[in-house]
Formats: sequence, structure tokens, C-alpha cells
Amino acid sequence: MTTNYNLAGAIHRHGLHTPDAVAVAYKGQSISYRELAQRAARLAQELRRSEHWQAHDGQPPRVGILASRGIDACVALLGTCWAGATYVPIGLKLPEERILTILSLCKLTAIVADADGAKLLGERLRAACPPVLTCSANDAMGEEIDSIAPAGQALLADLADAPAPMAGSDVAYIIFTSGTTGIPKGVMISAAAARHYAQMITRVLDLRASDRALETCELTFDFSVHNMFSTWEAGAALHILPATLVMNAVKFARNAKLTVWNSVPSLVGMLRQVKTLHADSLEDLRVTVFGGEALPESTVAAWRVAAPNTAIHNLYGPTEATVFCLGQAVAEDTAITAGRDFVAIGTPLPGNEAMIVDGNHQAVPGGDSGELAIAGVQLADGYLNDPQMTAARFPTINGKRWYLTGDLASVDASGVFHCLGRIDNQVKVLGYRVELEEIDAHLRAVSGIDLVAAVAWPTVDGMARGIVGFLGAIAVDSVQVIRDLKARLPAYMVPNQLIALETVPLNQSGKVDRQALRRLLDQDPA
Amino acid sequence: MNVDGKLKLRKFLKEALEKHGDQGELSDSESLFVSGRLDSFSMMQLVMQLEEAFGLDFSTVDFDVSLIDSLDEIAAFVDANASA
Repeated sequence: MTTNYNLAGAIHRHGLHTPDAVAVAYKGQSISYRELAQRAARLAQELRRSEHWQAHDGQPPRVGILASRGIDACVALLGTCWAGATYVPIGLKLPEERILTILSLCKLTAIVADADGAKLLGERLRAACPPVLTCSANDAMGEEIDSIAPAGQALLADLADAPAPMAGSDVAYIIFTSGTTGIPKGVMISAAAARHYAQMITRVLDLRASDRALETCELTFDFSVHNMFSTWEAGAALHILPATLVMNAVKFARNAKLTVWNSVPSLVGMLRQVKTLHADSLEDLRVTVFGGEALPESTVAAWRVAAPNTAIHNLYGPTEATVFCLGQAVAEDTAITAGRDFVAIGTPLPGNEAMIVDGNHQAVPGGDSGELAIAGVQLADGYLNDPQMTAARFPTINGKRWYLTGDLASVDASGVFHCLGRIDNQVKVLGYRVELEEIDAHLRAVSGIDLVAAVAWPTVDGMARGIVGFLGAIAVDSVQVIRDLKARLPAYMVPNQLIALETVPLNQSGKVDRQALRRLLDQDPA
Repeated sequence: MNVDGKLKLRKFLKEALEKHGDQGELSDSESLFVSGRLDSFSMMQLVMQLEEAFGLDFSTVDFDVSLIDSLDEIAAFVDANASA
């Protein structure tokens, strides 16, 4: 029997075996595995009924998910999976220009929107969109907005019908990340990679059906893939943190008696700063996953005081290797990366391999630093419509396909990997990947000034909290430039402030010296 | 909160909004964070600013965004909690 790699398989399985268990909880409402499976199956039926439903060059149809966090967003995503399609999350907070770019890159067959997503669709977007279905708990099948045929009788789907078969090579999702040229890159993850990840990480973390796990991320951040699919693989309950309660995440977790915490480390840094992280406040937590950014030693120390009974896992990985591909449980004697006060990123997780290479893709001798390369079942198929970039970043080395992460790293004597920074100008802002050159490109375009540079600043606990833009000019209309940038870039890429400099410092190769600009800010915080 | 304090607060909030490219009006009762006009990073900066300017200690309060979601709420919160 051929394996069905459909990610919705776990929902179907638990829908049959533990139908009444809570699958998702949000703002006082919850949905059981049975209901979630039924709603996903019905949405899938509706999607497949569309006359536009068709494969792309042997790949499944693509469906955009225009939804904020919540139960409806989970249904939208799982209904898409259930139908056997590739899901493409589109951030609700993205500016219209960015959404239009993504739409033009993807050739979507349909879009599934929740109530917030549907509201967002202005005329201009609607004109560029494929048919849109809304997916709302109040109207389970969704009002028909566009050309998809009306739902007809509101039949509850029969759970005897399994999710549509997906081959391992079918693309499960496409997530867009920042691209240096100014155009976002669509990372294509196969169903085999995604399913392996969900099953592997659930085993590694020993997640159980009795767990109650925290979701802190938007669907556009691939950390959400971990949160959702590891929780559902285990048959556990996903508790989604409402956006307005971010600073009260600890109280939220305590009230909901959460047992699994998933977040970027900088969330804990912010909780410490607003003083909502109290000693012994999270006694029910037994598993903590920190990922998406370097983990400061000080965050671990503070976390142990707040959550005395939890194992802490530091997980590392680029979107191109399916969420997390290296990691380790943090113990008292866990290696700290020298000079950086960050916890080491550990060893390859099952199914993954890692090595350090030099500029010629040759493995470097033990202990030396170089670029971290990843291989194994979790590697992405590559970048959407960009074979050149795919070939450059996913080279074949000694007969095996690798992904070059752009992270500078080394391996210590016990085989543990340490991340030492970037070999390029990529930074992480609150866990989101940002190519500073991409901001430069947009800064240049909206300001008309050639000499520009974005730097990540300020940094707290070594992690970037925002972006500052520099322009080689005597004066600049900051408010206007920022407003123009907001129309083009996601909020986390928009500078918090702009500084006009008559003389912009250059390095020896004649490029803008970002280090010098950062030092300028450190000396004289504006 | 006295007039001076409220002016200082308004200035801080207007600046934070402008950094987000938002030059809109700000009424005393308007929602700042729940409405999404300001993000959680600005919230954190506001908390730090309030601690510094008014001698507040957030570790002693049961923090909730509704405590500081508008100018009026911030003023009431400061009045109730500021150290003399």
C-alpha cells in the first residue's frame, strides 16, 4: 500500500480514535478532532469541486491561506491539505504590494480566507485573486464570494473519507522569506519532508495526547508548522495565543495549564522586560521549545526560574530544511558558544546531516569555522520559479544534495555545532528572517537616494528588535519614506527610524559599512 | 496625572506612531495596542518609559494590555500606581 503523505492524516486519525479530544483552543472556544476533521473535509470537498481545480506540471493545485490566527485559520489550512493541495500562507498584515507580488509568483487555484482575511480584500486585490472561499465558524461552509459554486446542502462530511492522497514528492506548503534582490523567495517543502518533520519531532520531544501546547506564531512563519503539526501528530491540544495577549503569554499559559511552550527566545526577553515572567509561574510546563533565533544563556536562566519543571530544547533550522534540523536539550553542562553567550545549536536531528564547508564546498577540518551545510530528508525542493538560486543554494557535494545555510558555524570536539553569526547580511528580527539588502533595495526605490543601508538595531540579549535605515542625504522626509516602505514591506522589515547622514561610512571595498553605522547607534542612541 | 505628565505621554505616543508611519490624530480614549496601531515592541518601550518617568514597578501589578491601551487608561493607571 502506498503511503499517503497528506499532513491532514493526523487529524483524520485522531478524529476517528479520539474524536472528542480538543484539537485547537482560541479565545474561549475550542474545536474537537472530530469537528476539525469534519470542517476540513467539507472545505476540501468545496475546493475540489471548483472548475479551476488543477495540477501545475505534475504538482498539486496551490491554495492561498489569507487568515489571522484562530480556529478558522486552522480549518482553512487543514482543508487545503485535506484536498491534497499545497498551502501558501499569506500574511494578513502584509502590505497590498507584497501580497500582489506573492499572488503573481504563485498562480493560486483558490484562496481560503477567514473573516478577517475576507475583509482585507479590497478591489485591487480581488482583481488579482483566484476564487475566494471564506471559512468561518459561524457559517461553516462559507458564504460564496466569487465564482465557486454554492455549497448546496450543508452535508457533514463522512469521516470514512480519508484526506486526498499525496505523494511524498508533492509540495505540502510554500512559505515566503526575505530575498536579497527585493523579491521574496518561495521555499517549497515536500509532503515527505513535512510529514517526516512532524513525526520525528513529536518523538524527539516525547509529545503526548495529554499535552496542551502553545501557538505564538503567524502561519507565514514556519515555526507555526512545528507548533501545529507536532501538536496534532501527538493528538494534543493547540492553544493559540491571541495577539493582544502577547505580553501576558505567561498568564495565558498558566491559566490554560499548558504543558508545552513554543516560542522564539526574544518573546521571553520581552516578557522579562515588562515583568510578567514570575518565579514558579509555569509549574505545569514539561517541554519548552525555543527556536528561530539564537538562544541567550540569560534567557535559559530566567526560564528555569519561571518554569522549574520543564525540559528546554534549543532548536535550529532554516525554512529551507523544514523548520528545525539541529537541536539539543539544554542541560546544566550544555556548551555555550564562546564569545557569544548563546547556547550551542546541538547536533543533527534524526533524518538530517550537517557539516561545515569552505567557499569551495569542501568540508573544513575539525574545529575550524565555515558555512553550515545541511542534508537529509527535510531539505526543500528549492525556490519557487528560481532554478538559478536553487542551484546556488542547494549544491550537490560528493553526490549528495546539500543546503548552504549562510550561517557561519563550527563543530566542537564533542561533535556539537555552534552558530557564530552570518556570512552575509541576513538578520533575524523577532525570529523573522530579514535580508538587509532587500530593505536597501526598497529604501533606494522609495527615496530616490542611492547610498542607503539598513541595519538591525537595537539588539537586546544579542537579538535584533528592529531596523534603522540610513540615507546618504542632508535631510529626508522620514514619515513619508516610512509610509512608502510600509506599503511594500512586512512590518518587521520596515525601519523604526530613518537617519540622514551627509557622509555615510564606507568600508575598504567601497560598500556601506554597516558595522560602523551600528557603532554610531550604540554610541548615540537616537 | 498632571497636565505636564500627560503632555509628555502624548509626545511619546505620537512619536511611536510616527515611527510606524502613522500621522493620524490621537484622541485620549483611542485604543493603541488592541487596535493594532502600535505593536508589542512599542508596548514594551512604553512600560519601560513609564517605570522610569513615574517610578512605577510593573512587577507589582497584574499586567494587562487594557491597563495601558489608551492615553486615559495610562493616566489612570499612573495615578493609581505611581510612587509618591
